[in-house]
Amino acid sequence: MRKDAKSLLDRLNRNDLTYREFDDALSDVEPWPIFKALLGDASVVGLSAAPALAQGTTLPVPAAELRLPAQVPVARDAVDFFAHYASAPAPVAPRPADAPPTNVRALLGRLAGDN
Amino acid sequence: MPLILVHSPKGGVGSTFVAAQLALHLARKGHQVSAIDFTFQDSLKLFFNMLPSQSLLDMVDTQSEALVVSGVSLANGHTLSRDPAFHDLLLQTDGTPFGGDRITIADVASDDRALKALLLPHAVLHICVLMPRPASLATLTKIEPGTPAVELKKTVFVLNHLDDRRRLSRDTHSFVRELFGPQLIGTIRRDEAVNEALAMFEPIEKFAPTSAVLPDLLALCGAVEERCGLVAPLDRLADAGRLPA
Repeated sequence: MRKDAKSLLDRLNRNDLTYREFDDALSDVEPWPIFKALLGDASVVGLSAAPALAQGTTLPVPAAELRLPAQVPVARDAVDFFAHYASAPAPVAPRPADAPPTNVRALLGRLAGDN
Repeated sequence: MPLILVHSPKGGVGSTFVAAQLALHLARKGHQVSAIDFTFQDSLKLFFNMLPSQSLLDMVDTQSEALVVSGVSLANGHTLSRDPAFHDLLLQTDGTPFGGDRITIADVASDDRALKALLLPHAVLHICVLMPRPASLATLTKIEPGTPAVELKKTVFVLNHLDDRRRLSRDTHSFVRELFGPQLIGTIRRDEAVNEALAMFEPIEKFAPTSAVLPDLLALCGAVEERCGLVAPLDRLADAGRLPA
């Protein structure tokens, strides 16, 4: 047991802690857009439920409070993307002589607290 | 006896932790339990207080015996999971390699969807661990292609790293509970003591006996037992009046 936990228990004159879970009321749930996105996704809730849930029929969060961001535009320039890679020079791995020397012994020494 | 499959489409959410704790719990209840680490990471052993340098029995090694730690027979199935003969065995419809009295818990890497698909027909339960993070929630769309997550018969969900002090975490709990109902079989509160115990190579029960994680794990394991219809040998003896309940 951590010292601070033991100290607290000693002050409370107890041997253990009792945990209690406080459930949020659904009406208090923040309307995070990702929740709306999932509720409108057929692969999560099914084809029949997705539209209804997305409209807020049985939402845990009032639909009116949920705002999905506009779809992020996706550029369809994959060909150009790969062409860029094809024309780019191949990366050159650093030669051992270029690489900074790693002193493993010194590193281990630092980890062990040696100075 | 059943195969319990632990797989999440998002890595790093605590699937291995849940697999290990479930195996330990069932072994404590008197079940014969095997836990198979099908991942390349080979990190299941850490939850059994083994060193990174220690190796589990490779399941393709037929000469060695499995290591038993805290009553759980441990093995590494990563090499086996790449063996076509193993795939053929799993594809056979006239039986299962996971028979007998032993409960097998399979820890499958998040990106190994092919193995998950092969094991699922043999499993009595698929545990999918989630975290209250958008990247984890987003993978709910990828649990099982072709079947909505809320309609999966074998799949149950566990919300790990729950932190009631964080608004998104609290709201995610409410959301997932509402979305999945009884499919959400457990929540595990976030406690750094889990990592600290791992770093100490000690069980959580010993390192942090007052950790909030412990009652959560107990409740989760009880829910899994109930869901799988497992009656522990120790409970059977207690019911028969041969042991105090």
